[in-house]
Amino acid sequence: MKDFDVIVIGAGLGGLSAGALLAAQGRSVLVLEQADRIGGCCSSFERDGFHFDTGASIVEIIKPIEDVFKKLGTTLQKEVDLIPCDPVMSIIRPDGSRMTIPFSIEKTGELISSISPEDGRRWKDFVDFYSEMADVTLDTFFSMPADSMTDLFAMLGRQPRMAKYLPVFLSSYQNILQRFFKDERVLQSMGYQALYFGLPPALVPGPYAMIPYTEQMGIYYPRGGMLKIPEALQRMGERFGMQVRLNTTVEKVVVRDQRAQSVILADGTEITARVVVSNINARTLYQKLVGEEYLKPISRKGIRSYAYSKAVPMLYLGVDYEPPLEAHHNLIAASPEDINQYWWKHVETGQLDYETIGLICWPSHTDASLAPKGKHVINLIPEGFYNLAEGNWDDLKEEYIQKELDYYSRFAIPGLKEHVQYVECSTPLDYERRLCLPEGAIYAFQQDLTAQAIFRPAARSKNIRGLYLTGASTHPGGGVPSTIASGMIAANLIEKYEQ
Amino acid sequence: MHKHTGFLKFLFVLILLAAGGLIWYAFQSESRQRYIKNFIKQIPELPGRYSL
Repeated sequence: MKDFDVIVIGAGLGGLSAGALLAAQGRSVLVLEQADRIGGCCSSFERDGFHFDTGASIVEIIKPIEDVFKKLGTTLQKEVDLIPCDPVMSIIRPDGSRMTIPFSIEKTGELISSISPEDGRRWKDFVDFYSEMADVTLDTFFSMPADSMTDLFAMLGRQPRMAKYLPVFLSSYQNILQRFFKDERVLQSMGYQALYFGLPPALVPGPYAMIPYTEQMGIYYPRGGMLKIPEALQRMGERFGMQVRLNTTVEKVVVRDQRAQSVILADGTEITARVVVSNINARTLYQKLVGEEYLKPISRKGIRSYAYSKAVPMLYLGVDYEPPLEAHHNLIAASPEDINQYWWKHVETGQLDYETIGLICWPSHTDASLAPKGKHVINLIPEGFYNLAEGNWDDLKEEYIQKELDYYSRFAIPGLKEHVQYVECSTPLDYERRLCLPEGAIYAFQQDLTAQAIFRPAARSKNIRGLYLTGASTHPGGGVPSTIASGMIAANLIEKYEQ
Repeated sequence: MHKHTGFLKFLFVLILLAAGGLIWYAFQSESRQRYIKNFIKQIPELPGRYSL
């Protein structure tokens, strides 16, 4: 007799969505989380009256999340107060001028036309192309397993229109954008989003160039902070009996007869379960918790081959003025080629650039309750990386904060430095320590063509029976909707294979 | 003898395909070349990744 039907390692979005759905199937579920709070990268914390988000800053492509809440007998909108972000974003050019993208396909088209009439006409073609593709992929790629070729054929069977989009995989994000748009200023508003997939535009597969379109399907912020999404999943799961234990580190997954049997905690306690669901990085799972000795030789080579995804530093700022920004998301203008050059010159060499591309989040623009009256919360996310050519993040942190404040105050957020009341920085090293993200990798593994779908660690382990994967390590990859979808995919597989 | 000719034909087709591929690659943009190069570089990893 096992202690639980299911043990979930990690209370990130994938772990909580899988746990809640499995509890709704009538299984006894225990979720074990090493941190003192749930949510992983999608979490929030409070300092001096300012409410900050740990990592994730908005949610878009909400259909997979809606599907999970529907399966839990409720709706996303009922459980989480999602505030639409309008404008979608503001692009800040080096001279300080702005280009603000409205939440409207038509108005965005007009804006693009005012810059380049030719690109304005192509915006319509771009929207037509990606609106159909978004429909197709949301119905398949984001909701079905991709563990084997059979799974891929099943996707094609469900949506034969997918075949039409297969050639898009042979082009990069950048190629696709440049096929539609020619004006540098227009491209500057669409290149950065490639980094949401952890790679520069030259290496991200073409299908993801749909992001500038999906942003127009709506980007949202949960009132009260990003933590509200994992909290809603936890609340739903607990309604069905799911238990969550914080500050509980799993050190080992016990495997016997090539089947996961139990987990051993840091204090030596063993908890048995019929099924183990992992919501941690798959390399950590297979190499440390399971042990490579339980993998086939070819799988050992496979797991070692994954490169960790990008890591970023993040500055959490509480300010006592209304910052001169125009949107929830503000980007430092950079063309796809600028971003590629940044990647080759800095990420790949470890040479830190203090004056780089980055994202400025202004969540209190959307939800004023995040800061005391008259004050605001800003999250600066300059591009960065884990491996530095010289020094280490701990030693650099204070200097880094000052240099970034200087840089952003100079043109992007005038007056910022004089109005900072609270500042804290999470470096990639901090993310590694606090959230157990190896090398601070926020999307687990790089998401290029060779680490997608069937080439990402399978949701249902092909080496260990009774072991299932969720989160950014597995299909469909990193990001809020994808990780929540991964929990649903794992729960569906468990329902099918673990009676 | 027959076997020998078959192999030569196969080799000829293979060389033609490789040459065609190289010519096509040479005419691609720099960013597309990077994308393709990155993909080709990782092909040896695919069986291991698929086995996980």
